[in-house]
Amino acid sequence: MTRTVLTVDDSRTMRDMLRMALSGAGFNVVEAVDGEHGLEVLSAHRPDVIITDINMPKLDGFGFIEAVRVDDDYRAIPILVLTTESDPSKKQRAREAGATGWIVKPFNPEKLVEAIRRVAA
Amino acid sequence: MDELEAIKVTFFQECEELLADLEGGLLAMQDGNDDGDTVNAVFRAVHSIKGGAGAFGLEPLVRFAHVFETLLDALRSNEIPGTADLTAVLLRASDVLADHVSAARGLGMVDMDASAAMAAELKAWTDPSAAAVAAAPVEDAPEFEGFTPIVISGDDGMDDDDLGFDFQPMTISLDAQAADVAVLDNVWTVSIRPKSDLYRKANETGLLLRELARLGPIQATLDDSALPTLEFLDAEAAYVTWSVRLETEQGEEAIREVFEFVDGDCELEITRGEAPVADVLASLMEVALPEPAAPVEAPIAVAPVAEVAPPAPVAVSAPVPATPPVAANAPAAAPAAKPAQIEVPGPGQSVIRVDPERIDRLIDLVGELVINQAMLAQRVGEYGIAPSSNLAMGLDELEQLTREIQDSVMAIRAQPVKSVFQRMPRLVREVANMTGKQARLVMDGENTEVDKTVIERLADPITHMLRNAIDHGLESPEERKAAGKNPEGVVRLAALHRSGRIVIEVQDDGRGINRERVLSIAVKKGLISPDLTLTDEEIDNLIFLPGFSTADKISDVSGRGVGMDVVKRSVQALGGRISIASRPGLGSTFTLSLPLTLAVLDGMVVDVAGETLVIPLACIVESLRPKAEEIRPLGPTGSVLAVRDSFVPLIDVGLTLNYRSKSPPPTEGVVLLVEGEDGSRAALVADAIHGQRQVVIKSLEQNYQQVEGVAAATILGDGRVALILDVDAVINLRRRGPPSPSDPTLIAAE
Repeated sequence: MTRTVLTVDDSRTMRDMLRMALSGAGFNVVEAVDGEHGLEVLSAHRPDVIITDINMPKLDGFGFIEAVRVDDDYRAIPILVLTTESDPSKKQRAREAGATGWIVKPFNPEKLVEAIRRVAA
Repeated sequence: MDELEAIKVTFFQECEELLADLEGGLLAMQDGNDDGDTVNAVFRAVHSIKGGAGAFGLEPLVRFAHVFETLLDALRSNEIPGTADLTAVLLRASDVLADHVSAARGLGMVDMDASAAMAAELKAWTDPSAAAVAAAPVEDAPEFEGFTPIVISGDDGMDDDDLGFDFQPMTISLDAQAADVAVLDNVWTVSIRPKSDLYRKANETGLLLRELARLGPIQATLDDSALPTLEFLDAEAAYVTWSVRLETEQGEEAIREVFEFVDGDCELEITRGEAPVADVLASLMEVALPEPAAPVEAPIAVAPVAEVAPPAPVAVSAPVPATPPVAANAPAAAPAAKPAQIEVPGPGQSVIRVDPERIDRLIDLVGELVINQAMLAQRVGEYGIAPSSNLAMGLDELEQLTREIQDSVMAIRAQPVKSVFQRMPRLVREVANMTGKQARLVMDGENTEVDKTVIERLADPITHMLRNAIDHGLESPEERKAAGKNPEGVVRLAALHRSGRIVIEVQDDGRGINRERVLSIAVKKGLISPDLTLTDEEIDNLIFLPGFSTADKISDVSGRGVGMDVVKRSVQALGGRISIASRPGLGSTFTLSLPLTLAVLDGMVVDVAGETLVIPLACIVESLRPKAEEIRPLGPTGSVLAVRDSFVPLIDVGLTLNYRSKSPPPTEGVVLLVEGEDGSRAALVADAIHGQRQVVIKSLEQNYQQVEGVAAATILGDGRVALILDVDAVINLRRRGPPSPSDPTLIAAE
């Protein structure tokens, strides 16, 4: 079965990059442009994995992760945080919010797919 | 196009938008109009540029963006206070960032010295010791380690499963056999005791075991002895522990990496060698069970044993890296084979990208449709069919539909002028710096929409008008102070719709036009005769004459060999007009007006000396039949018409365009009161009016040549070609007298 990945990022470039890498690896990709949009797309598509950016308008990555984790329907979905922050405190905050794992930008497709494999059943 | 290249194109488009957001945000901060989120948006813009640039390995851009971002991060977290000085620096930094983006795109070069100086200046704000300049590259370096531009090789998607099966079992089973008889150096014992947090973050022990199994054959033992009975079970809690015997050639590092995401969320012990299962469990039990009231039986007796084979087919649905990571980094530059699956836009995407040529073709076709519909209406009219008949009513509906289609099609190509406007703040900063003026740009109506074909041609005239306004219009700060003005001059750039045209205004609050000087220069250069009496307005507009330049010396900025006359001509070529109004000491306003589209026009069809002409409806104020007593002769040949309480010059269009040499009495014709771009009025005399019609503009320049007094041509419903009148030009022709015989003769083709 083709697995669906939801990517949440305000940068079109980054969304396109993710889409190319993920669809190239056989995933179905759905996209959202910020956390708020992400929650909408989430209910419409029920993804198997979520990849989210941290810095976003409206609802940022932390808020988005927290919102997913308090929803009984979605809290078991693995969430990978996508970030360039080398700052460990950001990563820690994302984990406290409930992030399953992380991907450091710039990523290569192998790393990305590996990270998904590590968290996706 | 290569998929990656396509994303790169997107990236640069996005950069343009982000740079505009960045500048907009910084300008809002400068004006004190920012809210709490502005600084975050500004930060995100730079952050996103850096992120994308990193993915494409655009290192100089990434480096500069990184320094910029660091400062913005400090600003948004209130580590450093926001001041006017800082905002000014950030604005200049945004210009340098824009240069980096252009350079990365292959357009222009970055002045690396200036960029380094800017970077040092930015660093100095976050780190006043500022010696950090040299340390910067080192500090940045780790971000790029392991960077690989995305290359998807054909191996990635399709063949993974095969590779997984072929490769792993073979090597490992051989090694395992060898290991059994020889040293047990490659055997590890991993004990895992998850905490509930591990599950809360949607991690799974099963997946961790699957990952371990990728390193080599594992034997996992579950200890569920701490599992309470159902009635005491907390579904959210973690009760079980695992002990895994792993055979692998890889070191502890690789094993630890499996647990990277759950670091801190489980108790993990990795030991080399084979631990007797019971021992491991016993050691775990001590930790696991605070109350030793637990089972008496040996834990091993209750622990079910799970065997997981390394190439577990169930587990390996995700692709395995086809090449070792080191090798994967190497062929980065080599163009990869197209990925097996071409991306299909997801349901979340609501934007369609269309080749502009298709839209152009559609617009052309709709234009033909309009002509065809008009022709049909005319034919039906000729048969004398009653307007109330079904046929005529059906035709009316057709006309309405045609018009709606046309509007909708034009709307596809309509874009806000923002894309042009957003380049201007930088221009103003630069021109102000170069000329030593202080200038602030205020923009209005950025969202005014206009056809894409027009937008593309707006940039040059606006650029020139702005340069002119700052260089010639604004005074130096000292002069301004002396005149009791704010040393900072204000330049206003506005876009608005006015009677079916787009109007661009560039207004400055400078000194206004020095009319005496303009007049004397025009006389000195032989552009006008010295005894001519001109109105203020006419003097102002002398600056558009070819060969006129008021600057004493050609400055770095305005005088780039392009005079206002060239601007005027390029605007006119688009069916536009440009004019200037000036008030001494208070400033000047340039007004540029262009048709909203270069495709269609609403016009009044008139007869003049047996020719059919179209007068743009936008210019017409009213039409009337003059009475003899309203016409007064003026001068030897001219006459004026009394319209209410003013006199307007009467212009016989037939005479002006050389269709006839003698005017019939105006009382026999129809008068159209028109208004020129500068507000001047005239009464155009035509022989008869045929009514209003929408016409498709066909360029005369492209198909024939430019003719003074004529803006373009069109094809009428009956298939005849009609000329579209350039009202302003006709008014001006009249002022200068009838054209000389050398002017091209006008013949409307049959």
